[in-house]
Amino acid sequence: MSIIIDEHNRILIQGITGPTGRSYAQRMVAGGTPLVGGVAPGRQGESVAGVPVFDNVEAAVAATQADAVLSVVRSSLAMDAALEALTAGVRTIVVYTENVPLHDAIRMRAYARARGACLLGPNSAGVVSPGKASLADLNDANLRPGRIGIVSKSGTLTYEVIDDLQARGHGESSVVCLGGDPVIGTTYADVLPLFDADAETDLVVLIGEPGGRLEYDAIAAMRTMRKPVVAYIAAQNAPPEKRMGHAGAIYDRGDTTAAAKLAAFRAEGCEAVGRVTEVAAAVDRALQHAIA
Amino acid sequence: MIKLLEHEGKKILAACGIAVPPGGLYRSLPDALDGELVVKAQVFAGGRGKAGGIRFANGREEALRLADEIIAAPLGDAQVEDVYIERKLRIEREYYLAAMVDRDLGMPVLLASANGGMEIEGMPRDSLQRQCVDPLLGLQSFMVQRLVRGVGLSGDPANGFARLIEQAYAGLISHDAELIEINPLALTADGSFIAADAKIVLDEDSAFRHPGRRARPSGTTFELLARELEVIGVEVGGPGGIAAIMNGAGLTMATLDEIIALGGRVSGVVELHGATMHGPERIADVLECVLHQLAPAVIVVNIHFQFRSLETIAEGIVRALQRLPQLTPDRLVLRLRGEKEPEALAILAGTGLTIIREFGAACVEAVNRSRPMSDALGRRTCPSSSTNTTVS
Repeated sequence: MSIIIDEHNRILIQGITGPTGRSYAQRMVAGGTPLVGGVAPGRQGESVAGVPVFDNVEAAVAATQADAVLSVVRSSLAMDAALEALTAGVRTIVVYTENVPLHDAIRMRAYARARGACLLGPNSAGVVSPGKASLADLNDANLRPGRIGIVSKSGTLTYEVIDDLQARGHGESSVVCLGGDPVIGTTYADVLPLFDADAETDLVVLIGEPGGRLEYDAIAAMRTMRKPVVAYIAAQNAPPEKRMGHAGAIYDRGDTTAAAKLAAFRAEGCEAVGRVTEVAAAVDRALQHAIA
Repeated sequence: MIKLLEHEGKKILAACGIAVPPGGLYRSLPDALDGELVVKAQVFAGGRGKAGGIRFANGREEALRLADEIIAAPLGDAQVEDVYIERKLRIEREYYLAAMVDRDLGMPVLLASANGGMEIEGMPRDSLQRQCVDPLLGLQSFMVQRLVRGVGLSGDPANGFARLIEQAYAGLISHDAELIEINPLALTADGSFIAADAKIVLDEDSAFRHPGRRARPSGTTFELLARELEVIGVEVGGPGGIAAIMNGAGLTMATLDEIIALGGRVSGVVELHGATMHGPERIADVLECVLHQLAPAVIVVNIHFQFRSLETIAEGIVRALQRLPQLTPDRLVLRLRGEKEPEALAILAGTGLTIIREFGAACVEAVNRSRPMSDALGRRTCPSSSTNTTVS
C-alpha cells in the first residue's frame, strides 16, 4: 500500500520550466514516478523531460487526470499556485518552495483542509513511497522499499535516518516530510493514523524538533495506534531564541523544548532518542519488542 | 521574524487607526509635547518596566534628562536602542489585546483580557479570552462579541473595544504580522481606549509585498558576517572548541547534539543553506570566516547531499587550504556523503585530509582532535574504520 502517494497517482509539477522544476522532472521520469505533465503559464505546448507543459492546472488536469502536484514556484507565487491546484481538484500537493509568507501558508493550509486535500509544506522536502512514486527531494538511489514509515519536519535529518536504517537492512514504506515552516498543511497527527492503517508499514519513525506543540498532538494520536512509534527529537542543544535555518526550529514557550518533548514520548513508553545516531538501534529494539 | 521597537510598532498601530499617545523619540521631540510625560527605553527585550526602563517626568526638561540617563546604560542584558517620550495617560483600567498567529492551529488567534499591564505569562489563565479566526471566514461579528463580553465590557467601551479588535485583526493581515500585541491597552477616564505599548513582530518572508521591509540583522560579529555570506551562523561557545559546517537545519541541529553528547565543546555552527549555489569560492569564504571569527581548534564539515554535487564542497575546501595557511589538515575533519562522492574524494586527493563517511564517526574524530590542545596540534592517525579515507 504505502501512504499519500504511490504508482497510481498522476503527478504534475507546477513551475516545471524553471531549473528546479526541470531537475525534478528528469529525476521523476528516470525513477519511474508517474509524472504526467507540468504547469507554467504561457508555456503550453512545450515539453520537459518528455511530459507536456500546460498554461494552468485546470487544463493540465483536464488533459491528464492529474491528482497530485509538486509545486516549486517562487515564494511570492506559492499561495496562488497552491490555491489553483486545490481548486482544480488536486488531492495531494507538496509545496517545496521555502520562504513562503506566513499568512500565505495559513490560507493555503485552510483551503487544503476545507477541501479534504493533503498539503505538505510549505518548505517540505516532499513525500516518497520507494519503488512507487517520489515527490521528494530524496535521491531514489538512497531509498529502497521496506516496512518503516518516516514522518519528519526536516529533510536532511530524514536522509541520515534513511541511511542508518538501510545499514541495518530496513527500507521504507513511505517517507513524509511535513515542512520546516512554523505553519504547515499536514501534521504528525494527520500522518500517524495513515501509517497505522497501512498494511505495508510495521513501525513509524517520527522526527521532531523544539518549538510548537505538534509533537504533543502526535502523542495524543499515538495512543490509538496499534503500531510502535520511535521518536527522535533533534536540537536537544539548540541555543534558545536562535534560528537554526528555519523558523520552525526556534524555541518558544515553556515545555516546547526538545528535552520536554523527548521526556513526553518516553513517558508514553515509546522508544525516544535525542541523537540521530541512536535512531536505527531504537527501531530494532522497538521491532523486537513488538514481536515479543 | 522582524521584531519592532515600541515606537515603530506604534506607527503601525496608528496606521491601523488605533489611538496612541502623542510622543516622539527624545532626539526629535515634538515642540508641543510637555507636561506629564513618560520616558521609555526602546529595547527588544520584555520586562523593561521592572528593569527601570520606564520613568515618569514633569515637563520636557526632566524628560530629556531622564532620557540621557536611560540611553547611557544597557537595561539588564538588553541594549537600549533609543528613548521614546510620550504623554502620560490617565488610566482607569489596563486591558490586554493581541492578534497573532498560532503556529500549531495554523490560524490567526485573538487574545483579550481585562487584566492587562502584566506579562501575558503571568495573567490568570481564566482571565484570558481566546478566539481563533478561520482564515477562510475572516473575522466575524460573533467572534468579536464573544471577546468583548468575555472581558466584561458593556456600553461605549464595549463598542470601542470591538472596533479595536477589528483594527488589530485587519492590521495583522494587511501588515503580514506575526504578532500585534497591545499591553497595556489603556481605558482612559473619558471611556476611550488608547495603546500604551506596542509589541509587533513582522513576517520577513512577505517583504516582497511591503517595500522597505528588511530584517534587522542582529547577533555576534560572526553571525552577522555569516549572514552576509548567505549562510546561517550561530555562535555557541568560545574559541578553541569545534566549529561545524553542515547543509540543512536538521543536520546542523543533529551535529551540534552529537558533538555535545560525545563530550565535545562547540564554538559555533554554520548551516550552508543555499551557499553551495554560489560555487567553491563561497565555501572557502565560509571556512575563512569560521576560522577567523570562531578560532576553533577543529572544524568539522558534515555534508550530506541528495542531489547537489559534493564537488563544490571539495573544491571549496581545497581553495580554503590554499588561502589559509593556519588551516592545517589536522584541524579539519570531513564527512562527505551523497552525490558525486568519488569525484569529491578525487578533488581532495593529496590534501592529507581525513574523510569519514559516517556521521557518528566523524563527530567522534572531531571531538578527539579538539582535546587536549597538544593532541590537536600534532598529527593524529585516523580511526581504523574501513569507511575512512585519508587522502594523502
